[in-house]
Amino acid sequence: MSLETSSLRVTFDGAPAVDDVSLDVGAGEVLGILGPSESGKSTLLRAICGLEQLDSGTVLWDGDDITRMPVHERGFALMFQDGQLFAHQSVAKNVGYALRVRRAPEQPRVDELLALVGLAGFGARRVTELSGGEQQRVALARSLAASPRLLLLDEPLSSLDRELRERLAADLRSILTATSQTAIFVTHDQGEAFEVSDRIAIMMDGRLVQHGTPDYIRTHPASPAVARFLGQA
Amino acid sequence: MALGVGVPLAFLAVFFAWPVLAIVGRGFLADGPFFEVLLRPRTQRLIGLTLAQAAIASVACVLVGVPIAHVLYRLRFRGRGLLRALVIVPFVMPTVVVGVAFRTLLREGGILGFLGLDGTFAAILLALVFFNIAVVVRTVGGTWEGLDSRQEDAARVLGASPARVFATITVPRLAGSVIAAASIVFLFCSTAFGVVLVLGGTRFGTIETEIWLLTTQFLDLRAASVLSVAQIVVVVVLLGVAARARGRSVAQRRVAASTAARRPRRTDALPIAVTIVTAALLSVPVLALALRSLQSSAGWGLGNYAALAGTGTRNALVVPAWEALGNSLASALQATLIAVVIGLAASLVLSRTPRTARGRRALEVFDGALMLPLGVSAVTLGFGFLVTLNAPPLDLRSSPILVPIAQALVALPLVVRTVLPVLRGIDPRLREAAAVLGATPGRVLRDVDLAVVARPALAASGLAFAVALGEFGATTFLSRPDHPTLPVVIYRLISLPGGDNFGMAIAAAVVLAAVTVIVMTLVERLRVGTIGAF
Repeated sequence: MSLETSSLRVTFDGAPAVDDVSLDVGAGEVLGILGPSESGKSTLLRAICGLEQLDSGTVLWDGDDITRMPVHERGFALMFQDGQLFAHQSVAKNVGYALRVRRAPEQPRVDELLALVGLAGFGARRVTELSGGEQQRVALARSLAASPRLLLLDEPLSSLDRELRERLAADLRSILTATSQTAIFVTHDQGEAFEVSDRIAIMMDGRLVQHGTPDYIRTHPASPAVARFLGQA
Repeated sequence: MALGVGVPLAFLAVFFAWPVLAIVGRGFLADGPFFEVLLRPRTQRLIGLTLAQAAIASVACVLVGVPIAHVLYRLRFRGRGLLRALVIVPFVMPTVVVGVAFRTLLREGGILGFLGLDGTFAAILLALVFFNIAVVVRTVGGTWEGLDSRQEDAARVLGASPARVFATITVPRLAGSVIAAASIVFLFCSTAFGVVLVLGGTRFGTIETEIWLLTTQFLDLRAASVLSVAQIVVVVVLLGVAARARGRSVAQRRVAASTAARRPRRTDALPIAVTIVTAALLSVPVLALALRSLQSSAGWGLGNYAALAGTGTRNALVVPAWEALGNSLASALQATLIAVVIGLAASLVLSRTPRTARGRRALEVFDGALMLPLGVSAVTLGFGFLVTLNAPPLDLRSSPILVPIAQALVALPLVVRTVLPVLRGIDPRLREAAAVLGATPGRVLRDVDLAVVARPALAASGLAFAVALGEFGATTFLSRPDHPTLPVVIYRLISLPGGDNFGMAIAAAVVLAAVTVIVMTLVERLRVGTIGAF
């Protein structure tokens, strides 16, 4: 149950957005990718789940090459920064989407997930009636529904205000731990990254510039640029 | 504000409501039972034909138009702009030209003559689809372009196959615009006149051609009025459906078009194939027409064009065809001026959000009233003009201004639908910001509204001009024999075949088509997305 990428490269009109990125995530591990905005973090996530075309590089799952596998067959899940809930469906229908796609029983699992993210009883609501924090909780529940092999979280908390963000970061950590979910967590906020992740990779200008545990990175920044980035926040 | 409501309303009241209501009144008040006309076997057959052809053509337009909308508005590739322009051209082609083009193509000896489709129901359907694909492509494409593609991404990542993503995510979000487009196409097809008249011969017709026949050939004004009433009822219902569907599609959050478009993928093969084949098919009738125009009784050459300086074999025309072109251009120019001034004034009013519920409701009704001329048959309108405007207080029957007024009415809804979405898209805070900075209301109007709407208004002018130029249904009632427009001349020439007349008709159609294409190419260069969308 592990992901391994080697030398991923994605370019937009010739300009590299992701450049020579190799990383691995072990079973049940949460890898945090921390970096300033526009550093290619989101593109990297989209490339891993197959939404972005690769210029070169390979994506392996348990040693199998899945670089050419269609997005919907990978069994991953991606949680977007702005949720991307389906506005024409209710909360329960959103959460159950991946289950319906797989023809799996929907109701009990949806209730269980809504309880997990603290929204028990919200199933019949319209997603447009929810607050920002509630929407992101629904998005998380939707991503977890089909028990993805790998969960990719793209700045899931950054659209929320500070207090809510801190509370949800703690919730997120406990949910990921409780479900032993393998995940990659992308953020520009080091507090969030350190709180949620087991291990951190720093990304700058499309490249990974440092790997390590949160404590190690905090105390041993690899370059003046990393030190400056960590010092800012 | 008062002027913006008053002038358009007064114009609509005098030149639209009065003539149309006069027709409605005749239908109800004339002696003899109202329903007798509707119960005639001939009427019932024509109503059936009208509905059948409109239904089939709408479904066909959606089936072909939606894949094309995907390719032209969701994918990024070279030549996309050219293809978008090519697709809109048929929509503004003069109906008579399209009729002549399909006749040329399908008649014995024509390029597709071997299909044996001349004078068949299928030929009419093909021509109607040819016309209206643009409505679906433009309307659906305009919505699709602004839909956030990450919704589809989200579904794909959750395990949905491309087909499943389309069915569960894309279709629900597009449904509103598809229904709106389909109901507009249905409307256009059920009031189609020029094409059906040219292609239908004596066997096929619509309520519209029947109204024309009853009025001009059988002089049965009462029956014509009854049919007009029946048609108006259908039109009002359809416009209601379209407006509701439009209202529902507004709820979607829109993103910048550039972020939604992507490079073509292998899964796009089917829609791309549909687009290429359709683009080729759309150009066939036009090319056939151009080719045939070079073939006169004297052999290949420009003989047909030279003949346009004359009045045709056996003096089919009262004035030379070239003079009719001059009439057409002058009349279309006047119509454009009227339609744009009134359309702009009305749109400025409609773009405001009144504070009271009653005010909002009133604006909705006003909006609906402006759309009505789109569907109420041009023939009914022309007929209504004849009935009402030929006696005091307004005796305009012999005045040449009637033709441009009727054409302006037909173009008015298109102007509103082009300009209004742009005005509605202006963030009201922009106006507030200007006002807080010290701008007077007039200055705010100039610096915010008019500045933003200048380009769309220019594009709408071009569209109005093209539509007015090709208008046939109302014009054929109203133009005087010594002052005809080019579409009227073309119809006159093909109904009196023999000698050089058919060749002349084709040459005149090519000239009219060429002017239309030039105008629409200029319009397309303005890159206004709301052109031709509903």
